[in-house]
Amino acid sequence: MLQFMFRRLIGAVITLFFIITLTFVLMSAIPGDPFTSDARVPEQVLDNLRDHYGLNDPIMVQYFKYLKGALFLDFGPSIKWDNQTVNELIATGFPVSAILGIQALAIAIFFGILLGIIAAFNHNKSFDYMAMIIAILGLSVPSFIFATILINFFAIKLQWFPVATWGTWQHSILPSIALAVAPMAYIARLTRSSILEVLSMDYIQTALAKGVTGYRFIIVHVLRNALIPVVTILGPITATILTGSFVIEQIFGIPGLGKYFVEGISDRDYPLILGTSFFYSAILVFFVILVDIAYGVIDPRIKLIKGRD
Amino acid sequence: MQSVPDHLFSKKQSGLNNQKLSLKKSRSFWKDAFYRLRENKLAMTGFGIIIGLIIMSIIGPFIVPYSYSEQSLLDSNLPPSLNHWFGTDDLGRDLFSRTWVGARISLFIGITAVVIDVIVGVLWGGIAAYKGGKTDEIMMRIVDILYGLPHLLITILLMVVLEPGLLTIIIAMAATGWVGMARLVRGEILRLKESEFVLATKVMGGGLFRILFKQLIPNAMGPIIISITLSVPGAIFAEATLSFLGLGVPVPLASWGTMTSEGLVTLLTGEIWRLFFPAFFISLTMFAFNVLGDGLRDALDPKLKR
Amino acid sequence: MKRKNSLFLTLLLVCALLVSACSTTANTEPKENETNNQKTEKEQTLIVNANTEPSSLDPVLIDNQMAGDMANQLFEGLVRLDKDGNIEAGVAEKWSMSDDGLVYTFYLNKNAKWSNGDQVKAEDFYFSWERALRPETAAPLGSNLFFIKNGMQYNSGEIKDSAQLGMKVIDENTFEVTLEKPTSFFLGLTAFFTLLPINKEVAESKPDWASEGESFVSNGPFKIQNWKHGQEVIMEPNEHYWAKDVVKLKQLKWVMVNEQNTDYGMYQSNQLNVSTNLPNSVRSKLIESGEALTAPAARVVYLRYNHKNEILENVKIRKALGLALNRQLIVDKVTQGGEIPALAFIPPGLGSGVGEFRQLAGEALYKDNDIDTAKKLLVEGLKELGLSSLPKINFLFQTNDTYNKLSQAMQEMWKQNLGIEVELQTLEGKVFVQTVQSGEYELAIYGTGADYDDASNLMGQYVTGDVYNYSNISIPEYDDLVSKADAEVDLEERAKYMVDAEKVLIDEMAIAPLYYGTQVYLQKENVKGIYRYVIQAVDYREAYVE
Repeated sequence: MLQFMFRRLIGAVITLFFIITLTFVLMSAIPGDPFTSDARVPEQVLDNLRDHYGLNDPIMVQYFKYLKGALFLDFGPSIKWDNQTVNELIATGFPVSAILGIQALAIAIFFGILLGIIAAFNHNKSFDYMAMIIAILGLSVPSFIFATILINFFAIKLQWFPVATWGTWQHSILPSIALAVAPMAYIARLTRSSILEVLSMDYIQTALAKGVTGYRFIIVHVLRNALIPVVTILGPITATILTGSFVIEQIFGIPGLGKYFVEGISDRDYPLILGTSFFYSAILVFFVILVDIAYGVIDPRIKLIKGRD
Repeated sequence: MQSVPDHLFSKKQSGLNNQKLSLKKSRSFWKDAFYRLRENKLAMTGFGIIIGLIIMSIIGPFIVPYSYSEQSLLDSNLPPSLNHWFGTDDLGRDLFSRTWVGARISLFIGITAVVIDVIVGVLWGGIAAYKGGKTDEIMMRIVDILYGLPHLLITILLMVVLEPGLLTIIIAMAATGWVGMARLVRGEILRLKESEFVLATKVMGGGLFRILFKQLIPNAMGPIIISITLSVPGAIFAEATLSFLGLGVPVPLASWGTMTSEGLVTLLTGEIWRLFFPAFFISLTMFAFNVLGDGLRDALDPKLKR
Repeated sequence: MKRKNSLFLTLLLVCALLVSACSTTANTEPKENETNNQKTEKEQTLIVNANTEPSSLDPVLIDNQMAGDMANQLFEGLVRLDKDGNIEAGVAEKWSMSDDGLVYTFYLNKNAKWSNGDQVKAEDFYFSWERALRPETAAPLGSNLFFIKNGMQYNSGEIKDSAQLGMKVIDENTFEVTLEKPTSFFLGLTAFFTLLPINKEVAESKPDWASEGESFVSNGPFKIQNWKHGQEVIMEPNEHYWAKDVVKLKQLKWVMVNEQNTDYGMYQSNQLNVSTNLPNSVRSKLIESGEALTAPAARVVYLRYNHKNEILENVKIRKALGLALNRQLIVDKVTQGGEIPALAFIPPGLGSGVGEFRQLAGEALYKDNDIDTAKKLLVEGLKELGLSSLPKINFLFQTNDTYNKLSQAMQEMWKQNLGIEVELQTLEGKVFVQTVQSGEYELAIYGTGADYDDASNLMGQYVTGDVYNYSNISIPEYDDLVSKADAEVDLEERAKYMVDAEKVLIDEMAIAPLYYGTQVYLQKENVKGIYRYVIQAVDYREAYVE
């Protein structure tokens, strides 16, 4: 187990290195720089600014500076918001995205698996159809429409929740739901199909033949195997939700990481883009490893240390 | 169709029979699957809807005397009527015509994305899982790298480096879209490749592609098909989200994505038909692909065979 | 039992790691009592939308109007604008101008205080302005100080000695400014955000004073009570402000919501008292119903031609394209914000030094939707170029809802009226700016607005070789008139030159004006005393809730 963890850790570092390098290449290739603007800024001033932020340095110098930043987890000051460092921006943005994400994830996992189980064990009965119609509806409405409908109904008409911005727990309810709906529906569908498949497996049938029934059977034999595909997608879903669906953050005016990332791109705030995408990637890689470990825990048949076949 | 518990008790032996069948008579396996699918009314409805949508996307714009881009500013925001069946948008363009041109674009994006997803993703994930060891390690690292890249950045970049347009959107989606499929397939195959029947074939000297295509992939078909049925609308969605960020298909072209994002404001202003039609057809497409996917899964899964 | 646990263990593990990953940083606990506070202070609380976190609230470093608006509530310049846009006393209680119009002497109000209690001194102005001109500061809008003697040379580094700048601290309360040449609008300009003062002592002892609410020191009607980055800025009255009696608000809160639909939703459910960022299609309805109000804005949206392009170099082709547009229809059905069709370049409301410019120059310099002339000119133009038909022209615009619609409407008008095909291309913000600046375009939609109340502010950008002349316009006659106007001391004469220059610009259809902008806003009926100016600035000093 330890050896496996160590190997994955090395792998993760290599992965991260490639990701941040590619991000840097892509970012440098986008036209425009932080000081591209319509304002009447004399060339001389622009040059001063570019000097100040090291944008006139050779590209390799900039790259190594950035690598160093990634190594020491210090990305320097943001260019747009020159009174704040990228680390500060991440430190203020991430908790917001995280609270939102955890709530959304909890909703998505709980209701998704629940719906999937209900549907699968009522295969082709009305419960199945109902659960799946809910799931399909959830997947059919783009999140920006769903969010707007939620705002219109619950915030403007009923005035149960604030329309937007961040602060109290009431502020987080609507965006959490809006963020949760699509993954919930996805999890529900995957759970259902997976359970149905597991139910048809030989060993389950053997167990059934032996007369094993009841909740214990469902949990021990069926769910444990059925949730593998679900766990597979959980990693990426978690990371995506967690680092903030920028669409939801944009609509609800939430000061999360996703919003900073998008604004960073449109402002060409290089340190901010690099910092947030590094952070984002690190979380993603972390969850990929977590999923691999989770595989092993759920299904001991998969060897953690994959020897030669 | 029978409910699960029934079949569990009555078909204990089917699994084993099946393996033999799928090894020796794969042609009749697909034939059987087709028969089973045909009997599934819901799935066939879904299939019919998809065919219908494709046909309409081809002939729809020609049914009415308006082109998708022809404006009549004085007739803007008209509700559905005999003249304009789906009403008009804020530039006075016929929404019926635009909806079907939008269908063309959206379905094209959706289907292209899925084709790429499936081909690349299934092969990649399948080979990685089957080979295992170093190969798996390297292949999955590449997947992780692609997964970790900020997609928005790639999309903006591609929109700039290439001309913003349909092809760019497809490239941007395809560049990273298949990795989800690859991960899913790998997970499934990892689970299956330890099964007795695969080991048996291996012992009997079955090659990589033989085992992959005859045994592993058909057996992993359930989750793959579910994922396929979701990637079509998923891609349609992704385009809609890009539209929301102002990076959708270039105007005056329409897609369901651009139409919904343009129509979003009508939730506030009341010309709700501008949002309703594209949103309705996105949902219908979603529904159709889903029930078809379910039907296919049931039909293809050897162990559910009667 | 064991195996059952392993499933839950996995889920738990996922959740636990999630939580632990976040909990280390997640200490920004939402405040439960906030909503209660809001209710009790509702009477004199105003909530407005800043759209995004301001890039800076240090006046000198601000590069956009929204942040400038925020700074204008926090700081006060030498003069301020009253509700009609006329100049009234700000920090300077009185001032005098030398007969040649070159030297201004400002006598500062001794009661003018900073929010930390310090007196506002002439040195604070000197410090702030010199800093704005210093090359290293790289003040984005520092060019607004180029009217000061040697300001431009100091900014470009030609002059290194700050003593040569036309600014002098006579004594603590007397500030003398010498201009490059008589500038009729200079006094009004001292109310502009780039020219606001900074507390010298604070700035020198704590260079990052402007980054956080706690250390922020300002001299205007309001001061920062709390600044949650990316989320909100809460302003409260500055108890040291010299005219604190006219400030009735207890709180001025700026939220940061950058989505138009949400902005409108917040207004509807009373979470915003004022909304200035309305979705395009909502605006027309609200203007019709009288709910939304419009105020003029010194802004014009126009069509740029690239004069380096061999086809667009032809004045007849440019005119044909410009005249074949139905601007009335565009403002009625496309932009729908109460805009005015632009039949000339300088927007109404903007001054000339001797009264409003448009009144001198006339409303219309050409006919709107003049399809017959356009058709004729197109044929003639094509003949001159030796072409049988116009090749497909590329038409660039920046991605946003309004320009999206506008460009499509224009494309269709050219198609229907002239049979011309243009190819639309939308680009992301900075890519668009970069593309236009590098001259790699044919047609482009552009908007330009005035920083200060004088027509000359907008005219320089079409002079041959000007850094902002992305259209590569070169009309010797125009250059000549603009430079004459620049040099002219007599205001009447100067205005005449400017009027003539605009005529030349339009005669050549060097650009094709489309419409004059407006400020469209919603304001709850019980909100009073907000002043909006033609240069698109806003003043909340005397705002109150009835």
